[in-house]
Amino acid sequence: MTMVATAMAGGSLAQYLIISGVLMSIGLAGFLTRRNLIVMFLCTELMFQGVVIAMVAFSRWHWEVSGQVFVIFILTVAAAEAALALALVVLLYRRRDTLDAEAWTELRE
Amino acid sequence: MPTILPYIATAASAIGLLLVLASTQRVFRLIGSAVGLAGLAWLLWLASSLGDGIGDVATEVFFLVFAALAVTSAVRMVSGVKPVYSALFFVLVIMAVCGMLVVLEAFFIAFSLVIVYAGAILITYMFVLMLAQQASDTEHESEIPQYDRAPRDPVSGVIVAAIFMSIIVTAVFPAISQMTPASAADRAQSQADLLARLPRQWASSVDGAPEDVVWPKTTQEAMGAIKVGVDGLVFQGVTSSGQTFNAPIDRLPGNTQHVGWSLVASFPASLELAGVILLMAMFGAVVLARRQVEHADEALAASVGDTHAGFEDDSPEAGL
Repeated sequence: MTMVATAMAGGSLAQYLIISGVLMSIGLAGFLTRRNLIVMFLCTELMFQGVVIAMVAFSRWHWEVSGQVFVIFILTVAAAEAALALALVVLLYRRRDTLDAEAWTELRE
Repeated sequence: MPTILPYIATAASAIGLLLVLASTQRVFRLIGSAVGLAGLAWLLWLASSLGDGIGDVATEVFFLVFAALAVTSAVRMVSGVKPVYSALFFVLVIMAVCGMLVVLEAFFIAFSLVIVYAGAILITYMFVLMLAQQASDTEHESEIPQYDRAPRDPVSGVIVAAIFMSIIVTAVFPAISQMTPASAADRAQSQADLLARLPRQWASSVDGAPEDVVWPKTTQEAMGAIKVGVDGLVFQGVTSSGQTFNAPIDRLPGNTQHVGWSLVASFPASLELAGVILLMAMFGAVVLARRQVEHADEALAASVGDTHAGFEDDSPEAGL
C-alpha cells in the first residue's frame, strides 16, 4: 500500500476526475444560464480549469509530463480566446450598449 | 457497490446547484448549497472507495480543502449577480486549483497558472468589465441590470450539466479500477531518462560525489546507475580509478526541468503553433479594436458635428 501512496498523493485519481468534472459541469451550467456576455466567457474559463485538473491528475498518475505540457497549450489558447472574445464583447457593447446575450439573437447587419 | 449511487449523488448536487442558481431567497440558496455540497461529498466518498492512491492524511486533507474551495467559489461565480464579484471568485477558483496542482507536484504549472490566469487574463476581464459596466453605483440590487439578476432558463441548463456529469461518472467509475499508477520504478526510470539527456545536471544533482567520477553517457547507463533506495533514489557511480560509490540524489531534475524538456523535445511543432496562435490573436484583437475606434468616431462626429470631440472621448478605449 505504501507503493501506491507514493504514486498519487492526496486523493485518488477518481476524486480528482470527479472534481474536474464538477468544475466543468458548473461552467457548462453557467454558460447556458447566464446572460451576461463577459460572465459567459468567464464560465468557459472555468471549464478550462476543470480540464487542467484532469490533465495534471492523469500526468501525475502515469508520471508522464506530457499532460502538464498540454496545460501550457491550454493556457495559450485561453489567453488567445480571452483577447479575441473580449475585443468582440467590447465591440458588441459599443453597438447596443448592453452586455445581454439576448440582444444579439439576430446576428445580422 | 450499487452502480446507481453515483448518479443519485450527481442528481443531489444538481438539485443544489439549481436551487442556488434559480432562487433569489437567501434561505433557498443556503439549502441549495448544503444539498449540493452534501451530494459532492458523497460523490467524492464513493470515488475514494474505488481504486487506490489515497495519500497520507495531510495531502488528502489539503486536497479536500482545495476541492471544497474550488467548487464553492465556482458556484458563487456562476450564481453571483455582480460580474466583478464573479471575476474575483474566479480568481479564488484558480487559487484553489493551483493548490490542488501543488498537491499533485505540478509546481511549474501551478505557478504559471497563478501568473497567467490570475495575473494577466483576469486583469483583462476586469478591464473590460469596468469599461462595460453601465451603472458605476451597483450597491443596490435594483441598479444591477436585469440580464445579470435573472438567469436564462436555469432548469434546462442544470439538467444539461447534470447529464454531462453523469456521462463523466459513467466513464470514470468503471474504468478507474482497471488502471494502474506509475510505480516508483517508473518514476526512477523517468528521472534517469531526463538526467541522461541533461549531462550538466549530474554534478549538481548528486551530492557527495568524488571529483573524478565518470558520469553516465547514455540513457541506458544512466538508468543502470540510478537505484531505488529505501529513502529515495541512489546514484551508483564509478570513478576513473575504478572505485564504486553510492550517493543520494538530492536535486534531481525537478518538475520545471521535466516540463521544459518535454516541451522542447516532444512538442516543438506545437510550441511554434502556439506562438503563431498568440500572434494571430494579437493581430485579431488589434484589428477589432481599430475598427471599433473608427466606428465610434464616425458616430460621434455625426452626432456632434465635431471630429475632434470623438478623439478625445475615445482615447481610453483606443489604448485598449
